[in-house]
Amino acid sequence: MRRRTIIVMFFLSAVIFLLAYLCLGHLNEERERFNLTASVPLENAPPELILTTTALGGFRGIVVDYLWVRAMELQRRGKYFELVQIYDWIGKMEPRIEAVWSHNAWNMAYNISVELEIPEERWLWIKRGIELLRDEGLKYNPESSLLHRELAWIYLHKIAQSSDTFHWYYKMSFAREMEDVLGEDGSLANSGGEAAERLRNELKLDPERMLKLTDIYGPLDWRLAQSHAIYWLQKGLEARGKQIGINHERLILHAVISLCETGRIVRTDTGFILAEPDFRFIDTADRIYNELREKYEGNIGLASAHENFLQSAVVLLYTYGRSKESLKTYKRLRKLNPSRYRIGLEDYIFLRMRADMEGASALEMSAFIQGILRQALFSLAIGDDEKSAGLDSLARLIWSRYMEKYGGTERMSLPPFEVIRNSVVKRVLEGEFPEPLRDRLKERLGIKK
Amino acid sequence: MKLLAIAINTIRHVVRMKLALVFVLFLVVVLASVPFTLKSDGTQKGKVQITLAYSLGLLNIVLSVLTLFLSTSTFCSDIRNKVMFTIDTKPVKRWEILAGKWLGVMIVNTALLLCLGGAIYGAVMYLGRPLEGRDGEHPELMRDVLTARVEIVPAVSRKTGRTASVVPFRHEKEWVFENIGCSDSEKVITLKFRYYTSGSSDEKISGLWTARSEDRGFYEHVTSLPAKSFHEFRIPASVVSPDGRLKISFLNVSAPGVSVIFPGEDVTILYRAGNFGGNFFRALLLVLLRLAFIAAVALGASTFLTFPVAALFSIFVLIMSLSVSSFSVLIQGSPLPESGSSRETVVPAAALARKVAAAALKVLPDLRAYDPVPYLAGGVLIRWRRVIEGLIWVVLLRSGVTGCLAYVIFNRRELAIMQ
Repeated sequence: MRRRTIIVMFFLSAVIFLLAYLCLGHLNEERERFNLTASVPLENAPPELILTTTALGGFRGIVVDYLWVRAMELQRRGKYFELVQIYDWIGKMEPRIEAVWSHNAWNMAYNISVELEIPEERWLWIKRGIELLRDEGLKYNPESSLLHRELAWIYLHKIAQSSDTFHWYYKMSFAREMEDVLGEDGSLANSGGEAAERLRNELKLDPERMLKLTDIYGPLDWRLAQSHAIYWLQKGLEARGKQIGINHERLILHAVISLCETGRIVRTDTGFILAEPDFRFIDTADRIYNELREKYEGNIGLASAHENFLQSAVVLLYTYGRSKESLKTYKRLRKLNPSRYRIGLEDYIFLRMRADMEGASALEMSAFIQGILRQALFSLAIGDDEKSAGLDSLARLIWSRYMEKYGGTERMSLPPFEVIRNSVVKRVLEGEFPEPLRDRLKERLGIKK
Repeated sequence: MKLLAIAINTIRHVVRMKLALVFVLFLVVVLASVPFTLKSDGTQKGKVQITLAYSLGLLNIVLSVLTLFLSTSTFCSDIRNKVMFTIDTKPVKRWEILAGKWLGVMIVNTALLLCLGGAIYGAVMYLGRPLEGRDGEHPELMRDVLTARVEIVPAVSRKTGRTASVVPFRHEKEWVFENIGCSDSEKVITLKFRYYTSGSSDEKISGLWTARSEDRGFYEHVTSLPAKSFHEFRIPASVVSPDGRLKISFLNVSAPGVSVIFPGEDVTILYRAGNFGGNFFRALLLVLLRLAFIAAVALGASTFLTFPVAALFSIFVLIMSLSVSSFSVLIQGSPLPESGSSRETVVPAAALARKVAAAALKVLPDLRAYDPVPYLAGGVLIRWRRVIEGLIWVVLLRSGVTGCLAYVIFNRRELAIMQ
């Protein structure tokens, strides 16, 4: 080719490039105006992501399809070792499709984990599911309410609740891992700069936001999965603002109620962590209910859920020997529905219990009372005197109210309360409790070893 | 001697090309980063498995591509640069030129495979060492991955293919295993199984397993395990009869109304039959077999095609050979339209196309069947029989026929026309 031709071709292509550049801005505006852009381009994405999402071009779909097929085949054959990597690649090839991240995380945390027999292995897969959403999915979709909700759900349902056989192991492992970062009390206030760094880098948690949440919701214990669920839900709420739906806010409420029920960590001598109710969150849950009822006025479901929550709180507080707080909560309940709660607190407690035991025979009632007494002795043995006293008085109340009504009929009558109690003490000391607990109980009851 | 001279000349050409060097450098960098960049399930076993699978897989692919380009370029460039004129005028037969080139490429391949394979083996053994604070994981790794176990499917299943069987409550199902080469009283064999249930998938299935043979007594084991996932338990090898037979039965004692479903081939017996080092060596041999075939195809294509076309043709053959099993499923899987339907006219053409495709697939070797990665990652023994089979079917037969065809074409080719 002659040199002159080359120079002409070069200038011609330069002119074409210049024209294309001048048209680009207008074309982009038109694309936006007519909604022709299916997905917003990624900003500040790492090079490997740019490579996979753009350089592969039309072949990306084929590669993704192959990876999906391979992932399904590996899962079917029970060969899981590659799945974390494959899910990572799939996510990076389709980074803006929220459903891809949420499905893969759910698959790891729920489906794959339960196929393993050892709790340590299950826990690893639950963590992989959390990491996929927290470290990758949310990085590329920071405003996704779905991903925030899915992440919170794994914390709240898989770890904090008891749907899985090994839920105690997850709770314990999670608490230990958080203690490793924050120290033994799991409090943010007592942790230093190193902990803040680890929170940011390893757990993607912002310490300032964590402190702010403590102001909003109360003293959150970060060793508990519920606190983390609240963190991610609140982050999703802030990211989406008014566009968020009621389900998202309900989940926050759900997490706070879970804290009321099992939001306090109690250690036993053997190091086992028992989650006990944390009554400090009852006010928070009540406040959120009121706010939501105001926001979604006319929502009957919310109103009845609020009433049910307060009913349970009244009984729970009474059971734990917190009569004054129980009465205070009962008054709130009365304020909600004055005509329904005219009777006194103790009568209400008995009615609730009786409703639970409706149609129970004397034997069944005796077994119920014995169950409460057994729990009272267990609490005494682990040093939770407050709960023990509450349960003891609850058992006594049920016995006395039952005997007031049916004590005259020989067939329905129960043995004296002390007889029932002594038989329970005897049984637990004879072997129902493990040896260290038996020794502690003997010591607390003043029985010689 | 002539062969060796051409082979050495080919090796020199490869070294001069720098292409091999670029590929090797790329491989070294990528292989070194594999253990650090890939994400596994977090266990030591998972880490070793993923490193093994991806390192060997990558080595396999890169060496295949390298072989393809080396073979085509060395032959085509000799013709293009008229070097072939000089060789052809020497007292060397044309088949010797082809065989010498093939030998040269294979020597380079063997050297690279041994060096890089050795590096992978070293990395895997390093990752698989006992780790402080993770003592519990090492025995499992040694038992499941860094070993060579034989996996045996039941004799009936082997003959009749995959058939699921349903075991109702208080009913029994029996499997017969043959040719178990492990009846040493001090050893153990592992029973691996998976079942599904008609009840809730969260519910545990209880069953009584009995392993017995006519003259060696029996062994019983009770399990209460969830459905859907794979489970294993060990059986003393002393119950296997001297002729390698063992009957395994499962009695469903879960709950009334709960049936247990065993998919076909999901009950297998595993036992250790070799060590990881030997298995790894056989895995490298399987890789070498694949490379031998690719080199033959690429050289054959170069005898009548130019470099880019020969390379593309070889890539096509490689992809097809890797997809033989998938295409076979496609061909057998979809039924043709019934005669009498509106698409009746299509049937003869479709049937013919199907026959042609099936015949074409028979010509190509199923290279995926000789992929060593699933064996090594699962700790499954690669038998010498498999390697010899590969040698016969892939190298001697397919590569041999390709070489003969290449010789016929090359022998008839006029390299230059007298002006």
